[in-house]
Formats: sequence, C-alpha cells, structure tokens
Amino acid sequence: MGILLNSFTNFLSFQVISALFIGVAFGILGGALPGISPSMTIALLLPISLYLPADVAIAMMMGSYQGSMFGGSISAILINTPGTASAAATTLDGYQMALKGQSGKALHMALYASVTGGMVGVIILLVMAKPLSMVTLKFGPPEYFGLMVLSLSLIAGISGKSFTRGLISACLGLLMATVGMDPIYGTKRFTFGNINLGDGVQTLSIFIGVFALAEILSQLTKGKEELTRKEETLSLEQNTLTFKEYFGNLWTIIKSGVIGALIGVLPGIGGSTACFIAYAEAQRNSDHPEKFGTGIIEGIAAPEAANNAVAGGALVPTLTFGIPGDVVTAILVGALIAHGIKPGPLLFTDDIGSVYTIYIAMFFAVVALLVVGKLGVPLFAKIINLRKSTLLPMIFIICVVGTYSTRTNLFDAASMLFFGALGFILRKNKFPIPPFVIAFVIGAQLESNLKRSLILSDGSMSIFFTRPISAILILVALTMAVLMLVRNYKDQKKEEAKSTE
Amino acid sequence: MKKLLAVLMIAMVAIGFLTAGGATESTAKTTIDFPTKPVELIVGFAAGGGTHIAAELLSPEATEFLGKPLQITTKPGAGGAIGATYVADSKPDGYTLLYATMSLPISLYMDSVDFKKDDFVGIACASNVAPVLAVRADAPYNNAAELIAWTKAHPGQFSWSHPGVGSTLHVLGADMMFRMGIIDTIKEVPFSGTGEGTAAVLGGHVNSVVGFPTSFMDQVAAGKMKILGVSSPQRIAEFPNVPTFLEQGYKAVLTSTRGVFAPADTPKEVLDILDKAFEKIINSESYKQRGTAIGEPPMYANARDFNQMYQDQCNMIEELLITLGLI
Repeated sequence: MGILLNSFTNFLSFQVISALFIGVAFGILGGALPGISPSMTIALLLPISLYLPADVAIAMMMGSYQGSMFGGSISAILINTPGTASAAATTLDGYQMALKGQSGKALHMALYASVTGGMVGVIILLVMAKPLSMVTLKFGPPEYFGLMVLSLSLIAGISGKSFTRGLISACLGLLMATVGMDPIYGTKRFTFGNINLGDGVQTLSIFIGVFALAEILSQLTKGKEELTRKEETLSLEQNTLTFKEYFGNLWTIIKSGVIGALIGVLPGIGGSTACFIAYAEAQRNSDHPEKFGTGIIEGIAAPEAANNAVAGGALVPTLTFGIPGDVVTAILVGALIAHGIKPGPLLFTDDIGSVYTIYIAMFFAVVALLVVGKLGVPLFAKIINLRKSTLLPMIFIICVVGTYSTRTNLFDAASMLFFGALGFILRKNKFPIPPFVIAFVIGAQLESNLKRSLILSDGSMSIFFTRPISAILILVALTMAVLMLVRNYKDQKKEEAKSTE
Repeated sequence: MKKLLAVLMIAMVAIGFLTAGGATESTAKTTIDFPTKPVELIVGFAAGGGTHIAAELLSPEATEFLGKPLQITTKPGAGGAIGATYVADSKPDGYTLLYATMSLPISLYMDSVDFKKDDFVGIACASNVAPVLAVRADAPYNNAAELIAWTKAHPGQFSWSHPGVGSTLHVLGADMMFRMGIIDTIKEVPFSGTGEGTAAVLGGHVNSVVGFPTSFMDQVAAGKMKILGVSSPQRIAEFPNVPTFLEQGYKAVLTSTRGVFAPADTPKEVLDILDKAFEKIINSESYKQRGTAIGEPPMYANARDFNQMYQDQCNMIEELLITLGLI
C-alpha cells in the first residue's frame, strides 16, 4: 500500500500531468487520422519519450494509447472513415447518426463509452491481472480457433435482412483473408507475383475502402443537389446525449468493456475483433436488434467501450509475462525496457512501484481523455457542417494519404481504391458490409489456429472437442448460430405473412 | 466559421502528408559534397518492432558524424522484402540506404523477389544477435543431448515454434534442429511473433520456441523457462552459463547480423564517406551503451569486411535452405 501511495504522489507532478494531457491530445489526433494507427502514434512518441524520465514517458504513452482508441471514432462517426482498425465497428451506427444530424450526440456517446470502457479495463487490470494472466496461458491454438468460430457465428446476427447475402459477404471476406503468404507453410496465395501482397491485403485498405470510399461513391451517385445541400442542424436537444441515454446503456457499456478486456488479454487477436464481438453481442441482446446499423447509440456504445477496455486487458500479459497483448503494447515493451523497466515475470516482485505507476498512468489517462474529449467534441462535430462538395474531396485525400502512410506504400492506397469499388458494388446490390469486414478480420486467426491445432493433433479434429475451453466455445457458437437461424426464419415467415395479408 | 473549418481540414490533410514521411525528392547530384540533405534509412519491418528500434539506435549520432540527420522510414512487409525492393530500385546516390537483417539473404532465395544479391553493397555491420532454444523450466530435458534422446524416445511429440515462415528465426531454428539431427522427428508450429510462441510454450501448447535472448532473460531469471543451447560460435553475455550448441557437439553457429546496405551502383566516393561515418557512429560509446541496454549487441565491421560477410552469408544461406528442403 505504501508503494502504491508513493507511486501516486510521484505521479501528481506538473510534468507528469502535462505529459498525460499531451499524450491524450496527440493520441486523439493520431487516432482520428486514418493511417496513423495507435501503434504508430506511440512509435512516433517513442524517440521523444526516451529523453524523458520514466514516469513522464509512461504517462505520455498511456495517454496516447487511450486517446488514440477514442480518436478513431471521430473520423468513423463524422466521415465514415475508421481512423483506427478498432473503430471499424463504430462506423456502422456512428456515421448513420451523423447523417441524421446527430454527430454531437454520437461523439459524446463514443467519448463516454470510451471513458467508461477504459475504466472497466483499468479496474480489471488492477484487480485481476494475476488470475487473468492464466487465461493467456490456457489459450492454445484450439482455444483460439474455438473463439474465432464463435466470433464468426456472430455474423449471422448482423447479416441484416437477408441471411444468404450475409453469408456471401462473409465468404468474400474470408476469401480476402487468404490472400498473401500461408501463415504455416509459407505458400503464396493470390498474390499474382506481387510482393506487396505478400502479407495479404492491409486491413486499413479494406476498412477505408469499403466504408469511406464506397460511401463517397454512393454520395456521388445522388446527384448535384445532394452535394450542395446544407446539413440540417437539429435542435440542441436532439443532438446532445442525455443522462438517461447514457445510463440506459451503462450495462451494454460495462459488458462490452469486459468483452474488450478479456479479448485484450489474448495476444494477437486485437481491438477490431473485440469491437465487432461487442457490437454483435449488444445487438443479439437488444430489444430492437433490427435497428442496429440505422444509427442508434447502442451501436456506438458497445464497440467504443470495448476498444478502450482492450488497452487494460492487453497490459495483463504484457506486464505479467512480458508478452505484448497487441501491437501497441509491443512498442510499449520496447519503451519500458529502454527506461530500465522490464515487463515480465519478475516485474511484480522486483519492481512493483513501476507496475503501480503504469496502473495509475492508465487510470489518469482515462480521466484526461474525458477532459480533452469533452473540450474537443464540439469542435470536431462541426466538420459535418461543411458542404459535401468541399468535404468529400477532402475525405478522399485523407483516404489515400491514410492508406499510403500505414506502410509508406502506394500499393496500399491502390488496393483501397479497389476495395472502395468492391464495397460500392456490394452495397448497390444489397450485400451487407459488416459480415465481409468481420470475416476478413477473423479469417487469418481462424486459419492459422486451425492449422496449428491440426499440426499438434497430427491431423485429428478431436483436439477441438477434447479440450474443454475450445469444446465449450464451439458448442456455444453452434447453439447461437442455430438460434439466430431460427429467429431469422421466424422473422421471414412473419414478413411473408404480412405481405400476403 | 466555415472557412476556419476548411482550414482545419486542410491542416489535417497536411499533417497526414507530413507524418506519412517517405518520398524524399532526389535532386542532389553526387559530388564529393555528401551529404547535403538528410539520409533516409529504410527498415523493412513495422514501426516500433525490434528491427526498427535497432535502426533507430543509429540515428542520434548521425548528425555529428555524418553531417546530416539519418531519417528512419519503415516500409514493412513480406519479411523485409518490400523495403529491400524499394532501396534496390532507388537512385544509387547514397541518400537511400537499407537497414537489413539476416532476412535479406533469406528473402533472396526463399521469396520470388525482384532484387538480386549484387543489387546491394554492405556499408557497416551494426549488431550481431545469437538465437537460442528455450523450453519450459519443467521440461524433462536440460541440454541438446537430452533433448535428442527424448525425441528419439517420443518421436513426433516434440514441437518447436518460430515467429513466421521465412523469418530469420525460422531459418536459424531449423538449422539448430538440423544440426541436432532431429528435424525429421519433430513438429514445426509457426506463430506470429516470439511473444505468441512464448505464451504457447508457457501454457504448454508447444514445447519450445526459438528466439533472441532478450525475449527470455526474465523468464529464465524467474525460473519459468530454461535455455537448451545458443547458436553462436561463443557463449553470449545474456546467458553466460548456457553452453553453445557448438560446445555441446552440434555445429549450429549461425547468428543474425544486422547492418546498413546501399544500392550497388552508389559512387565509390559516397560509399567511402558513409563507411567512415558509420564506423564512428557504431564505435561510439553511446551507441554501444544503447545497443547493449536494449539487447542489440553491437558488432562493427567496415564496408569491405561487411560486404564479404554478406556475400559469404548469401552462399551459406542458399546452401542451408537447400539442405533443409526449404527451397
């Protein structure tokens, strides 16, 4: 306790607090800019942080970690361009709300959900780091596979009206995930001899293509009037988030936070999967699942709470084993080592002070996010008031620059254009986009863990059913898929009955 | 107000362009007056990763010894081959250099890349890292000989992991298994990254992981893992008590050298300037300190020696990959 208090008082210095705020602001900016991923934001801060004292550096990086997780939602909501991969799920309802003129409300929901989710992550990290670290170890390839099957089954819930079209979209997504080098044997697939496809299609190129560019294209088809039309401004009341709306969603937010933190604990899965799972779970559990995707706050609350909570979860294996939970924590490990703090099994015994500093930094990062976000949201929300004919070309430039800058590779911008066209065609023909994106995100982990499991079991499928965790996950997935199919079938019957009446 | 917003948006775009970095215009003529602008060092791996950080170690002294800053740009993908292709295709004026690991010779033979061995010329070796074979502390074998005996008694049950097909650690690990004569009786389970592989070993899902020493130092100190052997001609500072494979009687001695390369047609005068500058950078005390701290043991070789090392490595890797059946 004494050490905790000591770390706490050390933390309350002008330098540390200002580093925290700078980190948050920088993170929000980086997160909002497509192409500057959370990991790149921290990588950009890394050289500066090496010249700072350890606690100042930690505060700055934690701030930018939390900031960037929220920042992604700004561009997702306002211009349908996920600023980070984790914000992809936020575009589904966020942008629809912005179209209705409720961008202020959407951004506030994103902010409060991020802050609450971030808190859930911190609390879970504080209270359960040690027991949760065991989860990291319990998950071997078959368990990962089970989890991916479960995630995939959630697609059934977000397929929209036509289950068949949803499945076709999902299969296309899985197909895209096979592009590039086979994760186990190294065979090149669908690369057409192009070295830029060696690692597969870049996630951001797909996200920005099918969300942002496809949206620009469909706006363009709406004719000149639409482009010069001024967005109607709603009364303040319709565009602000009420207490009731926040507390009405508190359960969804906390649950999504827990989902996010738990997925964060598992190395290699990542924020975007966590957000889609949280989104699908919120929809599954909702009284009005059909409204998801039309612009409702639940659809923002769930993914935004999840992606900030991932940060807390990802720190669990990082601190307890020195095994990074995601890309951001991987860079964080490097930074901590450079400051003489060695994340790993000895940290909790040898250097508990540093552990507390990290916890406290994470906690205050969430608080700082609330402050900076609250100040920034009204400013960001105004972007939507720009005339479309001004806004759309700018978004297009951001799309190109963003996809280029992830790997400083023009090929990724070109593939963004390709996926923009593909997304546009899919939308025009009423194929839902979310299943495509989720299947793509899940595909790589699904495949590599299937193969790893089968190598370990000498090709026997029994490995998935003799190990309790993977067996349970797969059974839950099957049950959920069947339940959703039944519901889908009943809904269709009802509609048919209605139309014949 | 609207104008202000438009300005803001333009600023956002501008920031995007700036942070995107990359594309430096190549206008300078190659005279003896080199460098007259920042030199770009391309890293073929993701920002913030081990290779990127290793390259960043070189930049603080660059302004002092090179006269201009060293601008590090990451062009990740295809095991470093995308970055290497970019440098091979760039103007050979000394302003675009490549920071590469053992993955450069590996990609020459394992990938269908557009560059050739002779497209690059070595400038300086910067560091040298030896891979190790790590297992869980409670594993029933403590050294190479015991491991071999165990795999003989339990064929097909031992599994090893590496951070990806065609990675340096894949090839160096396969070399260890080959030299121990067990490569045909064990399972290979690639993960994406040493971290994931380590988690799988700690969780008991796979038996061993091949990685660089810093990944396991704390695990070993905490009594969670142990090292069966080091692939290196000599013992390493990180694990002074662990015998090398060579000491144990197996000829696995390959290490991963990292260093700076230039496109082959770079003028001799420019290469000489770079050679001298990097010699001072890599031999500086501050570089050595940073390198040691971060687990990137400094090792210097000048342009002539490093180039020879590179040529030798290429031949050896080709031979090894054929022996291992990887190409």
